[in-house]
Amino acid sequence: MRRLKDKEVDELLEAKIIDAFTAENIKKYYQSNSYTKEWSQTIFSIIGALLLGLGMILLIAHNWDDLPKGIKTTFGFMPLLIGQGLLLYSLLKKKRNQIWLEGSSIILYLGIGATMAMIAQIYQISGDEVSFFKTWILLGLPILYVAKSRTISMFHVIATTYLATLIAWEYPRETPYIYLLFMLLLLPYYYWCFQKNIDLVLNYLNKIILISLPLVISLFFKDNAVHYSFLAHFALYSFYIALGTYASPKHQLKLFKYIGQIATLVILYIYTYENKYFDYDNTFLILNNALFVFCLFSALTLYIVLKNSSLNVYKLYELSFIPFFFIISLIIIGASDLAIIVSNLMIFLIAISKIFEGLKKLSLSILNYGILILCVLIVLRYFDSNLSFIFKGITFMLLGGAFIYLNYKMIKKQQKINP
Amino acid sequence: MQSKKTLYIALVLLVFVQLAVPVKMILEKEHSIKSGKMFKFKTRFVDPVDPFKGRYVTLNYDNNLFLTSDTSLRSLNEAYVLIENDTMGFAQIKNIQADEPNDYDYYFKANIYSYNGVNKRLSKHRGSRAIQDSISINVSFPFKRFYMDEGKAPMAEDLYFEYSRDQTMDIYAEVILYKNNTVLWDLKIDNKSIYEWVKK
Repeated sequence: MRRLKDKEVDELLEAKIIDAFTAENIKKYYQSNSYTKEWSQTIFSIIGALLLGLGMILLIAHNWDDLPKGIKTTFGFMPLLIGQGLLLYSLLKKKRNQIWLEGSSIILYLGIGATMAMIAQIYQISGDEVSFFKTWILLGLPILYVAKSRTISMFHVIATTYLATLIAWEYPRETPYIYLLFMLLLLPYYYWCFQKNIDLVLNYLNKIILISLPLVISLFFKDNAVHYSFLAHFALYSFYIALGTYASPKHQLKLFKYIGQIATLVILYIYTYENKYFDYDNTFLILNNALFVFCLFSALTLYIVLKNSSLNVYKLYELSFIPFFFIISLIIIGASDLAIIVSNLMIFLIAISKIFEGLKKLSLSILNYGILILCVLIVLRYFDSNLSFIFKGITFMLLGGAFIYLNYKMIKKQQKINP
Repeated sequence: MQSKKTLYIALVLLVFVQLAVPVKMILEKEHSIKSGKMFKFKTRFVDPVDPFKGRYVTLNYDNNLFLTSDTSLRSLNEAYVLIENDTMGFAQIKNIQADEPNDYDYYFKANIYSYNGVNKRLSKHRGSRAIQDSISINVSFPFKRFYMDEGKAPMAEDLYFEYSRDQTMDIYAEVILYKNNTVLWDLKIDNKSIYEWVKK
């Protein structure tokens, strides 16, 4: 049982869930030695058991070479059998105890990998890492559905992402389509959590999946021309912005809005540079995987934006994938100078839209964010343009003046509304 | 009652499938040992570590190049490698082909890297006769890890560096091959097992 803090007990008292006498008893209980003793006994027992187990493993390891193959094989199966035994016990006798279910699931999941590794070592089975992880993930997946373990769902995503990395980087360096298949295998569990409104699990799963997506997209398109990869990424980050802006607060996805905004800006800043490398591939945007990914995330973004609000100038950030597609098309047809101008213009318009949004919503943070975007753009142009010092000096002075004036006006407005 | 029955069936299936995979791995290896043939592959080794599988010695093989006029292999990343003994009793590549052989038992599937022309190492073995439109194929043998006790793997590597300079000593891996199954049986220096060497 989790220890209740004094503040939480006071909240229950205020809400009249418990009376003053019960509140006092609860506080006394947690302060008492007996409660602390129980916890410390549990912790020391766990530490003792772990040390005992590790000691046994070390003794066996020391004499490993001298043991007959049959004995080694028996020891090799131990992690798997122990994990299975614990899971069976948890499901049959401790079904309502989440700690037992999660703990035994984790032990079994790790036990699968340990047993496979030990058997491979005993029998000198030289497999590659890809086969090892594929088998491990597939054998671990049933645990997710039998025990409904949230930890295993996260292990599954992490292991699948790692597998995708191995497939993409180890010879013969293929596209990791298996990532899509393994993530599809997670779908029934995801849908079950959604139906049961298990928001806690969904929140963790969503975050892990959203973190793994940019990495996996890089793996899918690492051998393509760089602007195809950027196209797919840009649409993904636009999707993050839309998701973070319009998702319900209970989904805790606001962080992805900021990740998406910063990532799209960084990509746009890159495209404001004159770079001969971007002229390398002159193929047209025919049907390819990157275009498919771009269309998928663009469609999702558009759907979210239109479902939650109307189209207006403040949606420029979320919908910036549209002009970005135009920029990539310009590069591909050989008009890279024009593409640079459009990129600069896009950043300028995003900055202005943020400034106006800040002024409208009386938000200093949004206003200053817009000005900051503009500042960064001008600083970058300062270092690569051939403009004179006088021109640059005047530009900075105007910008600094605008910064101060807009902030002053904003504060005045806020003071009028809230005297 | 129905959901309990479903749970029992699911648990039985889970236990069965999870046990079946390592058992199948063992049975395949044991079958290869019984039915296969042992080949001696000349080798060199170094001692890295695998965080998941433990300490091992990495084996690099000498006779892993093959010259062929079958240019269709150029586009492949994997192929079947057939093995035979040379006149000195060591393994050499008999043939490389895209399809699994039906009439020969001693082969395995491996990653291949091909490039045009005659590799200098090959021309030294096969004479300076150039074969028109030939390609050289470098085979990555799948049995390249020999798992050893943590304390012994570095000793094995030290032994290799000590004896590899002695041209009279043969250093080789004994591998049993049978129908795409390989069993890395032992590492030997001068016909003595690596385990006997490290005990000394």
